[in-house]
Amino acid sequence: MPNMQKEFDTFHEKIKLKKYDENKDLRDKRDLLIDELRDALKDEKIPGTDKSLTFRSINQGSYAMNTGIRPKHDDYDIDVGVIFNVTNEEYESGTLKKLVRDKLNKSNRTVKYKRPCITVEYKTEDYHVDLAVYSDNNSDIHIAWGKEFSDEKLWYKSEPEELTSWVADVSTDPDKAAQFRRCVRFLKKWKEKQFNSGGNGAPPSIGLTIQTRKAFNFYDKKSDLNALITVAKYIKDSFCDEYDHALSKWMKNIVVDLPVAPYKNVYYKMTLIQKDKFHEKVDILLEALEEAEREESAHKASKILRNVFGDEFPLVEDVKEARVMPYVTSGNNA
Amino acid sequence: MTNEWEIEVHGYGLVRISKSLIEHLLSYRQINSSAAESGGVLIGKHLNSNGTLLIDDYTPPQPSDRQGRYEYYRSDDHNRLVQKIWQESQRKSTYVGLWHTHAEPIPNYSSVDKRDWNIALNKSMYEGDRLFYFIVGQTHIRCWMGTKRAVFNKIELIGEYNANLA
Ligand SMILES: [Zn+2]
Repeated sequence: MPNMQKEFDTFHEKIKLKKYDENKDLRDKRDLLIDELRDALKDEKIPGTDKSLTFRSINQGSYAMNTGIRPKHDDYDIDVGVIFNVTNEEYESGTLKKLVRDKLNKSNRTVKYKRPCITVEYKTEDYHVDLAVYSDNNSDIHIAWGKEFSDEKLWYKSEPEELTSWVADVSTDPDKAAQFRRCVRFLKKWKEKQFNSGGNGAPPSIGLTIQTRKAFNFYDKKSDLNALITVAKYIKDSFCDEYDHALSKWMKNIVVDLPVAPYKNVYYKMTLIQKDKFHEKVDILLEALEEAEREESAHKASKILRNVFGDEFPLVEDVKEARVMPYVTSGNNA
Repeated sequence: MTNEWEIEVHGYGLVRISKSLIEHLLSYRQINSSAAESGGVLIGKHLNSNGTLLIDDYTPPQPSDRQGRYEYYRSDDHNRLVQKIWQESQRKSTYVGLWHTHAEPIPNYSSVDKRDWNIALNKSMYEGDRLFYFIVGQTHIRCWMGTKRAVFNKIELIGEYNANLA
């Protein structure tokens, strides 16, 4: 059976998103917005005190974890957190989040107040910034959570930096850690190809990342395909049966808690029907990976893997063996 | 697969030439007045599907070759290279033709070229009964196909690639 590692390596080079330290352009865009916010808040005092309101910024999301893939339509997603030097009593979460929104709200962009963050979208740029607002709260970080006009607005205990390190600390062996990151990226491409974009139908990337991290006790240095089979099996086995009374049938449910505070289910937004569909797709994924692994022809295996991951996975040509040992004459040209 | 040069050959099938091979060969173009002729072997894969032949590799000029403004000598080292490529690819990649450059925009073969191509058809060893010949001109690459026959070999122009349109 063909190993396909060369094809996986080529595929990975095509899809991987460079880290900030290798991508000056995105780094500059991130810094521009952070500097602007810092500047806009320079005269701001914490209410009832003469203490200046300040913050430190952190990278989070796939950039920080080094598991990003190049966006399909060049809509780069920059994830940053801003941690303010305030306690949960000094500001209501919604008040501080609104302050950040108002300071950034300018005419060349759309600023949205979302449940986990403030999103800055630019009319003529190929990126957006998701800015999560945190209170340092004497080193007991909380996130400003909830929509602008919802009653559910609160400070929610959160450990964004711990989450990033938990993912990064998958292994001290650099080869193993690199294979882990490749597998996460492959699963993100699988998700992009197999689920409709938009809505909550697709499992969130952080869920796939956490599950891959947990499955990564076993790996195969020489075969990303075998490593992926291990991960897909693990994800499939993490579903449990749940009877749906409305539909009168057994469904597949999945609960995977964040490994850090607030320890909530990473798939909380998905409905039971969506999670059942997720299970079905993981099942198909596992079957396809195993079929590719059993396949004798590299050409056929590459076709199976293109069905799973899309056409960026290289096609192995259907090559005939050349039985004649070649012999090339020497000669002159003019 | 994007932007391949494709030539449909009647009675043979589709010949695909990879973008990266074209780019490599174009880098040997004799554009400035001192550039010497280069040449070597075309390496390809015979296909079961998605075309008949994929030409996707080459041997570059070797130190043992002779390179002049209007002449080029292809040494035995190309043979050694090609046999190594054939072996290391588990017999997937093999010798499918020859290439060289010309200091003219749209190249035509010379009598010396034709003699070399006929010797190659008659004396060299290859899969099937055809060889492909590229001449890389200053603006165009042209492709001829040679077919080995009992009496007179056939050599015909089958395609032209305009580098200025790419
Ligand atoms: Zn010539």
